[in-house]
Amino acid sequence: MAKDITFGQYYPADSFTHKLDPRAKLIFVTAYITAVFLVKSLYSYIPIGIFLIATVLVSRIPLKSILKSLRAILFIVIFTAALNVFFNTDGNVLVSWWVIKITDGGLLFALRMALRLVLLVIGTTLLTLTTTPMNITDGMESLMKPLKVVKFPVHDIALIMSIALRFIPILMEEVDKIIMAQKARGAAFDSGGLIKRARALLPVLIPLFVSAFRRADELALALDARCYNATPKRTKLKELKFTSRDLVAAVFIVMLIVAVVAVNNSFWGLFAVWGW
Amino acid sequence: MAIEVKNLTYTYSANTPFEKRAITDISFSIKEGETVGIIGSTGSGKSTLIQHLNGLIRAESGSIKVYDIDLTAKKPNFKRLRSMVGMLFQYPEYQLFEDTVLKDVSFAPRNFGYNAEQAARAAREAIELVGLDYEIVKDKSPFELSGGEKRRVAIAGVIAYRPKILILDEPTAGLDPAGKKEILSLIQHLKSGGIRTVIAISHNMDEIAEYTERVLVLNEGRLVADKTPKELFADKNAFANTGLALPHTANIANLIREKGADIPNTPLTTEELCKDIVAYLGGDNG
Repeated sequence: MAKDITFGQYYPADSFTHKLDPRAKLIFVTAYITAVFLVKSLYSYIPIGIFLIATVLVSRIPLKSILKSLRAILFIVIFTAALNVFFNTDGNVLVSWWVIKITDGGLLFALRMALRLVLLVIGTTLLTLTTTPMNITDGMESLMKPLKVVKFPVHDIALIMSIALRFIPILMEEVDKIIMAQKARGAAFDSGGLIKRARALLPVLIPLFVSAFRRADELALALDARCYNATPKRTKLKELKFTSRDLVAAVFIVMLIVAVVAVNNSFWGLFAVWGW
Repeated sequence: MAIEVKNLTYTYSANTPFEKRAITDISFSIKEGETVGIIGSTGSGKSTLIQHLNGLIRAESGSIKVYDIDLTAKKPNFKRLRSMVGMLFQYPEYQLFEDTVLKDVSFAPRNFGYNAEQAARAAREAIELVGLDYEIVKDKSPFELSGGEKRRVAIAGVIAYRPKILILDEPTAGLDPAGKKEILSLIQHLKSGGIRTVIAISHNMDEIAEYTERVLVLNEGRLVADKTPKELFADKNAFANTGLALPHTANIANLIREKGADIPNTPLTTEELCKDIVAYLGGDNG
């Protein structure tokens, strides 16, 4: 049932990560992604791994929810890894059979690609797991503010985004109801070939569209009735505020990037600095 | 026995932080021919309960039997079940989708194995039964009709395949008083036709009092009363903590009693109330 799919996957919990300012989290995720792409040597994944594990622990999100997000990309990870293992011909040949040559360079590259994908997905999933969709939109709106100078309709875009996000669960509930109603009328959604199944969706899609347009009309009327957009400067019920928490997190992120760059450039040199 | 429910319990989104217990340990049975009302405040589990009755929700624990079909079996015959149990959801007009009324009403009969000709005949009968002019509406788009007409088409879409049991979720919601009366008398009329058992959810106590023979009261997912409307509404404090109210007739009778007049019965319809008052005043039969 659609009810079991929690959109945006927000996982309510009371943790350091949950309480971070959404703007800060958006910046941190961007910084984290940059760090992952900065990686040149396999060893550089160590600081990233440590950082990620620490963040997961701090966020109090059960490991199960995080692994669930990986399930969606499992196929891509395996597929890219397999391509690299079989067709990348860098380095020494380990196994050779017909046109396929498995090389140590290929294996290494495949491992790096897989690690990169997994780390990227876990990191970004943490954002959506610890931040409500509403907060993410608020954060984005605030971060896009400078674009107002070039007459970019920041506020309108943010409103469109939040309406879209708000209506996803409503429409999913609607889909649920319509599916039930048509099932009660004997519609079968899980039998027959592809074309038959696609056709079986019509009794769901048509009422869904009708109702989506009806809701859009009603919402537009309600916005008009409240003189929406008549005030040039809108205020917010919940102002976003940076706190000392965000500063602490920022320090860690900067440390992560420094660590990655340091390990990248001179793994052995780093130890030399410590006097080994 | 048309329906037998034993110790039914259901939880939404089980094992997640969004877990919500909807119904707890509900047992009752309904005989063929009964007209049963289900009442309860919002969130009391009424809709969850009726969705179990035609297999749209599978029982989590407990058992459900509809005639000879055991719904807790591994793979019950859903098609046969749903052809026996017709279900009309809230605002059923939002489920119309075909380009003509005739096609929409024939949708369910076609699904239940009628051939084109049988389905068209069944649809015609159903459209006439709900009081629409077949020749006028059959080729119209259901979206062109008025609200009340749309609801009639939706009802026709369910009764076209002659289910033995008809389940209605707030059939009169959003209609004007005249529309409500029409739909209710239509349902009564259906009972004299092929449909034997009717189960209806309603928030309108006056409708429950007037049209049902038996009332199930749900509160916070539990079945708290299973009585005839007369027994149920005789108790002034029956709904103390449930957010429900007595029907107007029972309320007026109670008010009159408080003034010292002795009205013995619990009137369920306006006519009964008038008769009781006239009888108390010493008149003959109104």
